[in-house]
Amino acid sequence: MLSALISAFRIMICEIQTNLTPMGEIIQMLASSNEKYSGMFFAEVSKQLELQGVPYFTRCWKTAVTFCCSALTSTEQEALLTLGNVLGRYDAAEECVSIERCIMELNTGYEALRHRYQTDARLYTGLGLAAGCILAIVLL
Amino acid sequence: MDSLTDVTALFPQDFAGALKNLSAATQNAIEELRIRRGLPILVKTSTGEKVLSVNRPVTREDIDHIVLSATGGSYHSAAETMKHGYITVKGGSRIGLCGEGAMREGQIEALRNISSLCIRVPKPAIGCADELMPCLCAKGFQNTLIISPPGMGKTTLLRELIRRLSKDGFRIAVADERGEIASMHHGVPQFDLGPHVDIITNVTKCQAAIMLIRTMAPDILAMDEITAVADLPAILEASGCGVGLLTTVHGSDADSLKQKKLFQDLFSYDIFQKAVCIQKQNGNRVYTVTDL
Repeated sequence: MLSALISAFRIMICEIQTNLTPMGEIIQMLASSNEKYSGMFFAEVSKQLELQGVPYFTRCWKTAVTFCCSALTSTEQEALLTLGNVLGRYDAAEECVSIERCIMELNTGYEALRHRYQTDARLYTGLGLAAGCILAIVLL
Repeated sequence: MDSLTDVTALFPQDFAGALKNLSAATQNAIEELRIRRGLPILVKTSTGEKVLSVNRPVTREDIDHIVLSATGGSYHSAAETMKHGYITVKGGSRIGLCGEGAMREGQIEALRNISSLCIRVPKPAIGCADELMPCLCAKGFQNTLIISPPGMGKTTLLRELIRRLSKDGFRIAVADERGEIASMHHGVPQFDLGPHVDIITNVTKCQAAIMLIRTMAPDILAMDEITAVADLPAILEASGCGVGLLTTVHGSDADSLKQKKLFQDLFSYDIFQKAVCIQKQNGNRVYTVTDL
């Protein structure tokens, strides 16, 4: 989910910087993407926007974070909530800086997760090999 | 009614409810809504002003709500026009903004603490240009200026003339700097401008006009509100290429324009042949065509 959100936020930056696309349109575009996890998150934001209206963007964003991002750490969720307070309220440059900051936070989590998976993968490979060797010795 | 529906959707619930509760006749006659912090909302119709019956004055939060809704929750998309004091919303309405300007190096950086809004609700006036068409197109289309004071329906008449000319087969290029003529929304004009219209919106008149002339081969170039020297190159470019011109200007009549330096310069080129002046008589708009 982290990598999907990071990719989505990079698209968001491009849309804001290049086309000054309104936030509602960006959310809709990301909601209809094929990416399962980020698509689900932005679809929830879009649904909430329809229900509550654009003036309540921050509240809609917060609801979507609560519903769809429970798998993320509290730091990552906090980064997303902080971003929700900024989106739609400032000029393009300021918004892009905030999105970049959020991407950095998510990326830190993503890298830590990736590192843990790699370490775990090595550990489990080692354990598997060791177990195999022991089994072979026992059988012999 | 569609524009008013779009406008109503911008308001907090109680104000939206009050607008919806107005009689159909009043709703149809609404020209402007005046929203000022600490005061009740005023509804201006063709017959006068009345107070919108809501038992509280407008608050800062109400104004923020309207502005946020109008920008589609995206300040960055509307930042440039907000610097110039307006936002164009779906349905073609224009919201004029007043507040504290944040200046940097002599330029407006932003408008904050917005204190009042003026929402102009446009209405297509199908048929209002019918009587003018023979005068303006007697020997092919003649370059035309639409002249009137603010709020008299220049843009409405311009829009209707574009629609009529377009229906008659003229290729019309519209340099819609403020997005009021066509009111594009997601690439679709919110007003019927006929089948032969190409529109560039939210680009300065001069830049848009030059782009349109070079790429769309128009018969007529239409623009709203010639107000500055910066608009002249577009007019000269169009005229030099043999493209017809249809534009609006603020003024009471052609003679009043001749007092202004900008129009003395413009008239010295003998580009425009016709002027349509709009006046109100007994609450009705009256169009007078004069030769320039």
